[in-house]
Amino acid sequence: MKTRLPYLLILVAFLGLILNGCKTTGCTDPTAIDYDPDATESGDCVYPNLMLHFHPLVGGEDLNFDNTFTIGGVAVKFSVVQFYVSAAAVSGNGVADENEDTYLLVKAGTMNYPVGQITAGSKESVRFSVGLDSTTNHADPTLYESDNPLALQSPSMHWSWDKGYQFIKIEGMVDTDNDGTPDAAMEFHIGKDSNLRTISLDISQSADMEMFMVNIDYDLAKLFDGIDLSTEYITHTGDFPALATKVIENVPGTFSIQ
Amino acid sequence: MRQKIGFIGMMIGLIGMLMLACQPSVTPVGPDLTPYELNLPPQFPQPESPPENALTQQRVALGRALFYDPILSRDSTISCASCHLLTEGLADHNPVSVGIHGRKGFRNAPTLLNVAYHPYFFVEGGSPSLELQVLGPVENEDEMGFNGAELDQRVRHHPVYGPWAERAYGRQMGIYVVVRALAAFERTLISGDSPWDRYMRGDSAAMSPAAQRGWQLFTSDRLQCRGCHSGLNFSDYSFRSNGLYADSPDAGRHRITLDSADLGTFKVPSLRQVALTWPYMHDGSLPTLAVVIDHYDQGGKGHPNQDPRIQPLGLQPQEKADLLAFLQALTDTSVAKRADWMKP
Repeated sequence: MKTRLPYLLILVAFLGLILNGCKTTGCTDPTAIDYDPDATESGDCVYPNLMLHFHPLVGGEDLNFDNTFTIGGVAVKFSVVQFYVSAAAVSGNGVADENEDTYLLVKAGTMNYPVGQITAGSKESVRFSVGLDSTTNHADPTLYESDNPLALQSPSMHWSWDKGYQFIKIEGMVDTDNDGTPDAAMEFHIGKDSNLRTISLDISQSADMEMFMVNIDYDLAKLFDGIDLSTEYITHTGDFPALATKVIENVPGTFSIQ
Repeated sequence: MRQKIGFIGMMIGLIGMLMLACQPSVTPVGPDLTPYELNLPPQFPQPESPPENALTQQRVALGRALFYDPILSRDSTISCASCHLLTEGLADHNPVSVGIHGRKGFRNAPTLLNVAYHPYFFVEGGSPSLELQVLGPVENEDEMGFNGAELDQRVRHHPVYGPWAERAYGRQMGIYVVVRALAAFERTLISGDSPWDRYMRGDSAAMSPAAQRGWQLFTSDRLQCRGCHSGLNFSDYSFRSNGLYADSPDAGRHRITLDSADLGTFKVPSLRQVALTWPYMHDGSLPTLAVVIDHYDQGGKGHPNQDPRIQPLGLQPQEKADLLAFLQALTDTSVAKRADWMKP
């Protein structure tokens, strides 16, 4: 009896270990980064977060507000470059991660914009709109907290006489007399429901880390392609809708994956 | 020994109770929502307020203070009252509004009397509420020249408006409160005590015989004024061209709809206080009521979108004088004396 007891104890301990080892707590969600197919009890999961990196260019060069650039042969300087982005989504393997409630005010001075949680896995495309859906476009801006991109902004992104937002605001100076020096104030304030545009770009990235960054270039030379900035440089949409339309038609081609 | 312990225990208990009793009781104080009772003229309907901005005494008082406060403008020189004077029909005598630094806009300031009944604001009708209308002049470069977000920051910690916002709305002072308090005050700018009002309520001597004849002309099928200048506010709020120009330099409602049928059309203005709100038209280009009457008599300049009611009228001099007398009978002289609408 004395000699068998230790063996019994070892057996019990061993059985105990095996039984405990079969019960594992882990992430049981297949759309998470740390999905554990062997986990039997659901634990915390980690998901990727979509971050959009918007990089401003002018004719392939980095945008800055100090330099004078040339677009279509016209000297241009920028002082305000900002636009609303909404409905950002990524998709892959037939699954789309929508972020309907996220609205971004992209400004030239800031490149990284967190969007929200997405699912893990390989992603084939990114999609976003430049501008706001009609309901949001006509909402009351005074209802938002001051740190919300849809709150009133300085410089203003809202037309107070027309209950709508400016989707795109670009200001600066243009050279109207062809002497190489910008001399006239340029204002592109573009909005209205019909000018909302959706952009879809192909990517080939795997969302397997907590931050999933998609790097997107936007080139102002492409935005003003076909526009003679020395003669057409002011539109507030309502007062010169044709020029606003020319810019909007260039919006999809302005964005590309880095 | 036991007695001593018991005594000490009782003293500790008593002192503890005293300390608790002397704690000031902290009850959070909510906003003061004492309603503001509107004194409506007979037959005037109750104006609507949005649910989160029901009329209360605190809100109306705060709005009145803000109405006269140039803090709304970038350089703190222009207030709402700068272009909407009680003595000038709640409008002013400038052809177009004059803003900070003497900047001139391109539109004439309309009367705010009975503005609570309008369904939308600005001549294009683009602003859907009195709340959102506030942002128009605030952010217009040629008027207050300021910015909603910057105004929000400017008033956030104001020593007087800060606590007042808590009393009126139960929240921190900011643009949300500014636009709502102003709208609340504007909704109280209701009066219906002109000679015409009293005549319509049965006082046949309230309007002169000339004014009565003018009223008959105004409502006649021949002139059709009443077709657009209808109701107790003398506007159906529709968008029309009265043929002021053959080719209107101001696109009017087209700025919003981009529809060619809306080129040169503007919201029909109220004729309340019209004798006090000279000059006339959306650009203040007609200096007197006599000139306005002549314009309609001539039948407009023939703008492509001119309303079909605008036709040559063949008015006799007596008829013109009668119309003028009637339009003057729309002046409610009690407005300029309203102490509760003056600068606090």
